[in-house]
Amino acid sequence: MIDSPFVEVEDLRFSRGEKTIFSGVELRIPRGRITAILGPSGTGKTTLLKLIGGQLLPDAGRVLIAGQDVHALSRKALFSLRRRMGMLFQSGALFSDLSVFENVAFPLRVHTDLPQTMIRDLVLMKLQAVGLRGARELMPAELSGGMARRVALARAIALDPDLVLYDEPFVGQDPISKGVLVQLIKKLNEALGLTSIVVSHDIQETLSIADYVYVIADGRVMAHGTPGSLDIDDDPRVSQFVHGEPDGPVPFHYPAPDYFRDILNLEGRP
Amino acid sequence: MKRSKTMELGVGLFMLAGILGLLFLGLRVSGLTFTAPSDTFQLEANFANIGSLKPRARVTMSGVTVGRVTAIELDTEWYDARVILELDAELEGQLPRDTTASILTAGLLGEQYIGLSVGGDPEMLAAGDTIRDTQSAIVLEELIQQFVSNMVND
Amino acid sequence: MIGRIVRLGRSGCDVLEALGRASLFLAQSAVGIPSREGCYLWLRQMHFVGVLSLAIVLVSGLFIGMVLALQGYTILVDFGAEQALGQMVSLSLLRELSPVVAALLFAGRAGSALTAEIGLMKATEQLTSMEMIGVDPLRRIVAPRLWAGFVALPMLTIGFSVIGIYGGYLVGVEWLGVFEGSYWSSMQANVDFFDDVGNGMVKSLVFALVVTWIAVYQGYDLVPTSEGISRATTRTVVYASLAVLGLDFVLTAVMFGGFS
Repeated sequence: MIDSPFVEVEDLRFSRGEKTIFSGVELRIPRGRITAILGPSGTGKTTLLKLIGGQLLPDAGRVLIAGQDVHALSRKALFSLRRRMGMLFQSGALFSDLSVFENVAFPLRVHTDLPQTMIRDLVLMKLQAVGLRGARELMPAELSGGMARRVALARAIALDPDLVLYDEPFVGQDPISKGVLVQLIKKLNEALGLTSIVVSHDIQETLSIADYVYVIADGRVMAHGTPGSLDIDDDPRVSQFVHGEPDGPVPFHYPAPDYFRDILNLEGRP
Repeated sequence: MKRSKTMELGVGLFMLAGILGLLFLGLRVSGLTFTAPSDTFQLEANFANIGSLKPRARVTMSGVTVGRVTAIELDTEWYDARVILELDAELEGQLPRDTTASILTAGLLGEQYIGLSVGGDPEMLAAGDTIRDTQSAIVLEELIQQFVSNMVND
Repeated sequence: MIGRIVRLGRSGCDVLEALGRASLFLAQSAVGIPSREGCYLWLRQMHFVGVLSLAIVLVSGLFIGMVLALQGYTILVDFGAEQALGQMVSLSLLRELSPVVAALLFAGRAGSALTAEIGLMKATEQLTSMEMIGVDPLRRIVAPRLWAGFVALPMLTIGFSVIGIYGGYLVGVEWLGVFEGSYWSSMQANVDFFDDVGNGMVKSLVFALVVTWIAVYQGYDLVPTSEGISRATTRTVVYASLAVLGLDFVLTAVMFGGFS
């Protein structure tokens, strides 16, 4: 199943202030596949993407992309490595002062010396791929959330990257846009031969396209395997998460004193 | 990238207004003139006391401004103040040798300036000459002191 | 007791660290390679911080010049020195009021807008996504704004002085009846281009750098939430105003205090 990994994360440790976010995460992301990283909210999935993209420095451990240690690179080398990476942000993160066309053209303009007509062709091709060629004159403020994310996807693949990172691509979308995005991610991955990392907590959508799944909780990889093998895993946390049970090892209640004693206010708290 | 012409125009006008404003401040407000140095000539005058005369003070003749003070320094030979005056070139060779330079005050509390009054000497002052006949500044404290001591003596 | 000393030391370290980060930030963003693209970005920011602040600065300048003339006249007329009104108005404006008031207005109008704009870009992950595309946001976003502020504020200060002197002329000459000739001549005789206009400009350049620096740094460094943006905007105006007034005292002491 796993051929030579494109991204390797070795014993990654990271903490923010007193709070430990990752304590020894190990990931091997295969080339040319869609790898999903699942986990409950607040487990630092976005932080993990930022660590892979080299925007945050880990306390310990390494991130290797195509054999290069991301955090040991010089600023210049890191920026040139990032040209081979695309990232789709949760909010889309389109540049609000540029039109849709200019947003997609932005990476091409800053990284290539292509003539105007060629940039136009490339941008229209990418916009056609996400179905928004007709919206090229609009400003980001005029787009719906799903459209903004599709434009952001077109921008992320503008430079034909090797690796695309998706940060919660399905969150806050209606079923139609979810379906559209699922199709897009899958099609683009096949058509362009991308390596994709999808970080999400939308289990159904993610499992339908992922080739390999990692489940992260409590700063560690709790389970990993192909979507088919994941349900069988007998870790109660994983099964609670995958089956979407409201209460279980991940409690429904925030830690609090006993309900009965609290209601009668036996402890004299406000 | 598309450029907005109105925006470029706006910024252009803004910068132009700034430069014109600076010119206005230079020429109209601070009286900066681009006259060549040949349009003036220098005279010197020694005063026993210059009071609060400052460089750039006016030099007048019959109330008309004819130049300004360029420098004030202590003459270590005589231990008095040497004042360098810069006067309009048209006065060069026109001032008699016995011209008087006196330090005057504009109003009771106003700033001090130099007033020139001509004498009747047939010989004229040339550039770089020194005005011999000078009248020092009136220092108010000295006047009061004299007045008071006269009162006591009477 | 020891706890207090420790807390004092900690806050001292925090201040030093923040200053260090801000200086590094300034150094990294100020060195941008000028290019056609950079020129265009700078132009856009000039429009944003300069042209759009012009109205408020000019109106304030007119009123301040008029008030100066009115106040100055009532004092000078007691000494029979109302002929020196032009000198008073122009020197007050050039040396002190134009650089300071224009900088304060600039901090309120353009500085807060810069902080909010950059903060919003940070909150909507635009800065992060720019970094991921491989473009340094310090060069692309911060540097044009820094340089635009550095050029725009001195220009605004000049406009403030000019219109303030004209406002003084309106009140002094047209209304109170000071002789027009003496309004201008007392000005010309007593204002020196390099000492007064020049030093005022130096002040203005220093204020421009400090105000813009504070504004863009606060925007870049803020907590990316709605609350963080509103706090940072307030901080920009407060810090920038304090810095302007404090630096004004230092600069005045050096320039006009007779230490040189």
